Amino acid sequence: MGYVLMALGLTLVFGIGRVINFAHGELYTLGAFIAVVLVQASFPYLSTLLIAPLLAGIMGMLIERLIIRKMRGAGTSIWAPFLATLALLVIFQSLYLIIFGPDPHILQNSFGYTSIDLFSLTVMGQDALIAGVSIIVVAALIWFMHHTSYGAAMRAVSQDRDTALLMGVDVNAIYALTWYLGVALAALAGVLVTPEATVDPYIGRIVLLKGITIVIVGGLGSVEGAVLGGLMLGLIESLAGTYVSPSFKDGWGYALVILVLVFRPRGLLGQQLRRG
Amino acid sequence: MTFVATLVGLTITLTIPLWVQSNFYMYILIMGAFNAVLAISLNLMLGYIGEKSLGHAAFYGIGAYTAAMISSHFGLSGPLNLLAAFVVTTACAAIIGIPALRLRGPYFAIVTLGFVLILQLLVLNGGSFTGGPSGLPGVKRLAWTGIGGPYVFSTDIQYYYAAIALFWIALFVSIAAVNSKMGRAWLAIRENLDLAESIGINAFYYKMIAFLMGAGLAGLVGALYAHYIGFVSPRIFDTWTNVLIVAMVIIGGEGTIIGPVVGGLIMTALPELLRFAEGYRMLLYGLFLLAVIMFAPQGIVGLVADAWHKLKARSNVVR
Amino acid sequence: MLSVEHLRKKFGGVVAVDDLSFDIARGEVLGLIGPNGSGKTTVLNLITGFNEPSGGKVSLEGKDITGKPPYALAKLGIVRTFQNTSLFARMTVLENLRIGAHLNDSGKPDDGLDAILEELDLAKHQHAEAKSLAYGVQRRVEIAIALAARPELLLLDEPAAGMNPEESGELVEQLKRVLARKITIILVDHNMRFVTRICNRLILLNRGQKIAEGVPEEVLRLPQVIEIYLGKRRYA
Repeated sequence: MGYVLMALGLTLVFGIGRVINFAHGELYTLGAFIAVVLVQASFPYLSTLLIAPLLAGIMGMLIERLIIRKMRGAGTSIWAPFLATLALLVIFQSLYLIIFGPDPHILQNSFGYTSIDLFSLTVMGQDALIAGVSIIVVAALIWFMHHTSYGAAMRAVSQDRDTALLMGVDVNAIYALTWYLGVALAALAGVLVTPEATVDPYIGRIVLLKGITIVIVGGLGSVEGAVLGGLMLGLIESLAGTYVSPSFKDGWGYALVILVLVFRPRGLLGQQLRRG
Repeated sequence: MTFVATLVGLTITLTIPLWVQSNFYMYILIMGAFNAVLAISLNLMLGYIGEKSLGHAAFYGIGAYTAAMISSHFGLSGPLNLLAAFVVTTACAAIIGIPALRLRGPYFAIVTLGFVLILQLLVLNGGSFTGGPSGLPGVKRLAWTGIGGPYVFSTDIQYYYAAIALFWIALFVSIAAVNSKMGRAWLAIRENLDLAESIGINAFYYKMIAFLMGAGLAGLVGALYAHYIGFVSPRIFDTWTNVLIVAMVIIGGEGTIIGPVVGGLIMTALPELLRFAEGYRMLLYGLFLLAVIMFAPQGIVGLVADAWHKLKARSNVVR
Repeated sequence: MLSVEHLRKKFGGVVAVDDLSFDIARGEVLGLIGPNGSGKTTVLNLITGFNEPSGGKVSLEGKDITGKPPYALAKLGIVRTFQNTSLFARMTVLENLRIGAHLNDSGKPDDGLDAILEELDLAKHQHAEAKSLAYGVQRRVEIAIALAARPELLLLDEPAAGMNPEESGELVEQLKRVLARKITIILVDHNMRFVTRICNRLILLNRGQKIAEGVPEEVLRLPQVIEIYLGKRRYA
């Protein structure tokens, strides 16, 4: 469920910035590592939920400003930003290896292991936290996109950048905002989900794929789609994991992606694609 | 001019082993040749058709595993393995290509990426059939057991010549393809797909050919690699291998003939040169790749070509 | 030669083309006119395989070609140009034409390209990079590329768009030379003067439906035309 936030970040950056950020998984890891460092410095876990995304978002803005923006000019291939994010993936992953070493780190969270009894279901504290925060964030995001001028500007840029520019939208600022939000969301996901597992420099890749799966299934560029996609993925993974084969759990997600792409390339709620 | 260059190239590549003494450098040369072929094979899809295929490592891996599995389960290690690797890889490419090639841009990239990952999972979970997480060790040396008596490829030099032979074959095939009518169709598809279709070019068909050719070549390299190194592991499907292959093409210069070759050589030599900075190796790779993408989007070859043009222009002015 | 029957296209909730039927005979030049959004380009897309119809049938010489992909239709002799300038920008004009001649299997790829260059007054530009040319010249290159594919039916999407009267006049002359090749043409355009000079029949579309059909002089005098295009003012 926390992966939905991850997916949201991806879909925002793609829908508005038109870049598939391959380093997105590494930014999830960034959030997790920031939280680890903070907790080891005796910050309470709950505060990291706020601090890590805020800091990571800055990194997102930096990436946009320093790298992506440089590639917007004419004469560069459309794929340049995408390849750049690939390079960033490598850079981040190796930085994590250097700084944190290859072994997993745990994110201490006293709250997460308590169980709560809710309507005769026993829910793990962390799960409740993930669900709760995700719902709040998603709702806030949807509200923001539809009820504020910045949100409207973002939607405008995602549909037609040039017209938005002509209408006075500060497109550069919107891109910066988009990247900030996108990365902050990924980082938040990292902080939320990690206490249930561990974090190491290599998880970025798997996480990225889950994010991509959700985004493809739900539709690239659609916020609601990301939510729907996340639910579907979660469902399929648990079902398949329990009834078919636990070690192949991840594979079902990829298979789902391929299926969706073959039969309904724009995803459940995505924008119309041109014939290709 | 090109004839001379080819002659020089042939001479150099055929005589290098006489100069090189250590096994270490031989290893680099062999891997360099392999990587160059991989880069050439990806370039067909990436550079000429213009579709970013992120799953190329898959074909390399399929080729390697096919050869390794035949060696493990049947004890064979002759040309049959290479042929089988080629056939299996091409068949897989056809299967994945049929749905995937109808997609464009990022969607295609993602499907190919997904393909590699599923493959890795399948291999990891394949138990004794695929060797599971620890891979398949003990791949036999390549051996020719037909007419002329058993001839075993046991020394580095032999593998080197096999690799170089593959390299030149790949190079010529790729040059022939690019200069043919098919090559023009590829360019047309890359530059303006709708327009190309409107004048009779069946984009799907031409994309499939490029895809299959690239896959087949990669499969051959994989098989040769398996016999050379002696084992295969699921790590061959790692993101890193994928990125490496793409990097080779981009850094060298996509859409050109020598570009991928240059890229392949650089990316093979670089890690060895950077061996002293073990932990930082990947970091430097990443930074290097980023720098090239940002400042030299046409790749090294493009950079050199630009510099060449500028020099010529300047000398004309002076005159 | 080409027969369109009850053609329909829906995009989501919007009906772009609604029960459209018409025929065109060999050698004719048929003009599709109508305000923006009337479905003209969609009709072209449907005939040339860039969109699939939601209903109806398209036949070429009696054979059903509905929904066939563009490359297959090109092989059958149906070629189109695009509304937005569509070229192989980084190649020279000559190279553009060579690609256009892709379907020519005779082994002599440059066969006939000179003639095309002459007809469209492009000979002096043949080695120029397509993207460096003036807009009007580029539009002619697009037509030249289509001609290189040896079409029997040529569909032109707003060939005179953005041209001044002098350029569109030249275009009429150039198209007349093209017509000498016995090519049938369907064209879509807004420029009434251009359309009157080159078309022998017009179909007026509005909101996806055929409103009128006939000889240009007649159609353009119909009150509906004037109303649709110009509001209730006189068209001099």
